[in-house]
Amino acid sequence: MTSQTQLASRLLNRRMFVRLFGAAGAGALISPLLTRASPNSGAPKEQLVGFPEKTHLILRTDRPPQLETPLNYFREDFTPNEAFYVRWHLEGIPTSIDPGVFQLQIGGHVERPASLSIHDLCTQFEPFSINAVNQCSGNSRSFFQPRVPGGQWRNGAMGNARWTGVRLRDILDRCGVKASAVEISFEGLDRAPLNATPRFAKALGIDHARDGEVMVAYQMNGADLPMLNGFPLRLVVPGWYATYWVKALHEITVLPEKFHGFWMDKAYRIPNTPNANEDPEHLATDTVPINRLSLRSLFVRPEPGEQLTRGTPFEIQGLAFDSGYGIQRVEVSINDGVNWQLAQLDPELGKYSWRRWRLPWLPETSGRYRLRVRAFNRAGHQQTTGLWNRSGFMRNVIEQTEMEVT
Amino acid sequence: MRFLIRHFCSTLALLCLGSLQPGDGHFEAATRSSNATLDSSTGVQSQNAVRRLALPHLELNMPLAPGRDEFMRACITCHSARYVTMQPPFSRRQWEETVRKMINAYGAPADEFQIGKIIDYLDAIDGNGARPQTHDSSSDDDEIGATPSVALPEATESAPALEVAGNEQDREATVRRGAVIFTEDCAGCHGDRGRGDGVAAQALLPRPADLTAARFSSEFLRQTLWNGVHGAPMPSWRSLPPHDLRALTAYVQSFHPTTNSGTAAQESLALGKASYEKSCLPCHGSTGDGKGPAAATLAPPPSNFKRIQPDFDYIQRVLRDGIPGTSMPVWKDQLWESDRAAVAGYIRSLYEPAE
Repeated sequence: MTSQTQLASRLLNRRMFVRLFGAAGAGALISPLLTRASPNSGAPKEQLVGFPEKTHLILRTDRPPQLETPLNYFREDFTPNEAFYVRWHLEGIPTSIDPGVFQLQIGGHVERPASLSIHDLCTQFEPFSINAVNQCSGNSRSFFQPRVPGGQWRNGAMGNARWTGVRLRDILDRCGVKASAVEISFEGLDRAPLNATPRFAKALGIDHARDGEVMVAYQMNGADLPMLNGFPLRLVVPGWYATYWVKALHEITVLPEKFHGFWMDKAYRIPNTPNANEDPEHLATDTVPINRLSLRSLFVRPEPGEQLTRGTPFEIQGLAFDSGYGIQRVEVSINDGVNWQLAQLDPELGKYSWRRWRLPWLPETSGRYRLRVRAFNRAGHQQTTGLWNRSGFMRNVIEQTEMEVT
Repeated sequence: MRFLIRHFCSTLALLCLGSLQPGDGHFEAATRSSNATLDSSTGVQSQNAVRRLALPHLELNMPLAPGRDEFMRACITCHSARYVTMQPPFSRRQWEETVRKMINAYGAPADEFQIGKIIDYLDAIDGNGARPQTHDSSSDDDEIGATPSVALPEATESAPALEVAGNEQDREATVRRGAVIFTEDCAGCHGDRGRGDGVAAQALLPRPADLTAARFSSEFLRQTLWNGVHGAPMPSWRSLPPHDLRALTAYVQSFHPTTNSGTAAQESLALGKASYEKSCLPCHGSTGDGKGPAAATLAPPPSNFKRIQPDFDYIQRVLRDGIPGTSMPVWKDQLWESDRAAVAGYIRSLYEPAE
């Protein structure tokens, strides 16, 4: 049985290799090392599509929509709302919302259940803003080897925004959370066509929910949220994967016990191992809900296929972020990891924002280059050279990209 | 020391400036205007308006291969075929894991005997390396649009006979049971009241049927529940036990009063027949059974008016606007309003429930 599985997996890998790189692609490789997926090289032509309130984004799925942000938008520190990626789970996404009627319900294990309008939230609470990266748990899933099912994102299932709204703590204080509260669950307005499909609900521990940073946002980059990003309200959980950032947030329930629901108990779980790593042949049996963002660094420029000219200065540029410890340094290699140079870091925009790094470079010889980038944070975390798990979550492998100097 | 302090301050200023991107002035203005618009007392109506999202429809034209019907019926009610076409090639075992997860975790309407056929299809479209046709990368909006579904010869399997409840009391219980199942399995698309306005309706094309706009014969409902609707997101519900299918049939029929709202005058019927034969017959057939000469290649198939009796107003509306996502065209430029009314009367006269 095991040998059959191994054989199948080997055959599959071969098939995938041919599919991924093809004969022409294989010929262009500078070394056979690239059997590992190379995130920023050989990018296939993508289909772009325009949805309401959105610029042309990469179409992953149309119904329910999963739309990816093209790399060039990451040249901006704050991802424009119209370019911010989109990911829904259930087909019945809200298509009509009357902000004058909409109410956020807060109930459960509280002294005073409340129903708050958008107007209440805007006028009765102290406004609070935070800059934070929102990244899908499965961002970069398409680079996992062996490949795994799920949304086949490249690196664009993420974005950075300034979120404005109300601290969740302030809302909870108004309602008077009972002393024995344990968790808080969050539900949005999205619904599945079939009743048998579990409703999308997520939960946070009571202390986390009241940390003064978790918030209910009514604005994103100074404007209303786009419908596709969760208008009128979105839960913001800085430093945590976007699965917790419930869109079209509608119901907050304080619970005297641990929350149990499909999207916490069965879905969005990671191996309870260092860096959420597991072996495809021996899946971890102990799993936990996905939580804090891993440390990552990515290339923004050069883009895949970008051509540079010998003797012309070029700025290699990218982004680095983690779950809030702060980026300590970023190192870039222009010779495939043989030597590493310290990149310059732009000023911090907040501990949950990403931070831009830059490396001015004067290419002196023509040819193909393979670049790598790795970040280190203030907690001493490093990026990994290999990561796999069955769901394709939390990719933070040291990225590489290729470019041609002519 | 003074230098250090000044340096610190300017750094702080820089940091603050950075953290307030994209421009604090801009941001505050936006906050003010948003707060103001949310306050009805300011009289700013435009931004306090209902926000709507008009979802585009970009359904894929899926390739022909064995198992396509089973795949379409079990899967595309909840998600488009792109959920499959974006995946890398997987083994049959991996596809089976995914299909079983869809059924067990998300309630996909497929039973054990359909699983193998669905996997056949998923495997076939991967194994051949034949990806479904889709438009290539392009910034041209016109390039991306809804592609009509591929028509397939339909091997309709017969639904099991559903005995009708005997007495009035049984019938009421059956309808009540049907209401429960409808809420669970149908209301997400067809809406709580069967008006075709469920939560998923906006995402679907063709739109879910308005079950209040026509009389449906038991035979029609039985076959539709058993086979699904080819070329539409209506799945097959043959995984439900026969008594539940019967209950659903009874409940759906309860949406529509059984009394016929009058018959058209003979004269008008003759006029309607003439227009029908000129315009409708190629698809809907001379007897209205939906088997006209052009019907075989259409999906969803043309309506069978012997088994469905749409309301007068509904037929007129369809003649005027067509049915988006199907082959039913707009007739308002070809048929005058009086002709459309006559056709509607004639179509209603074709109803012959076989029960």
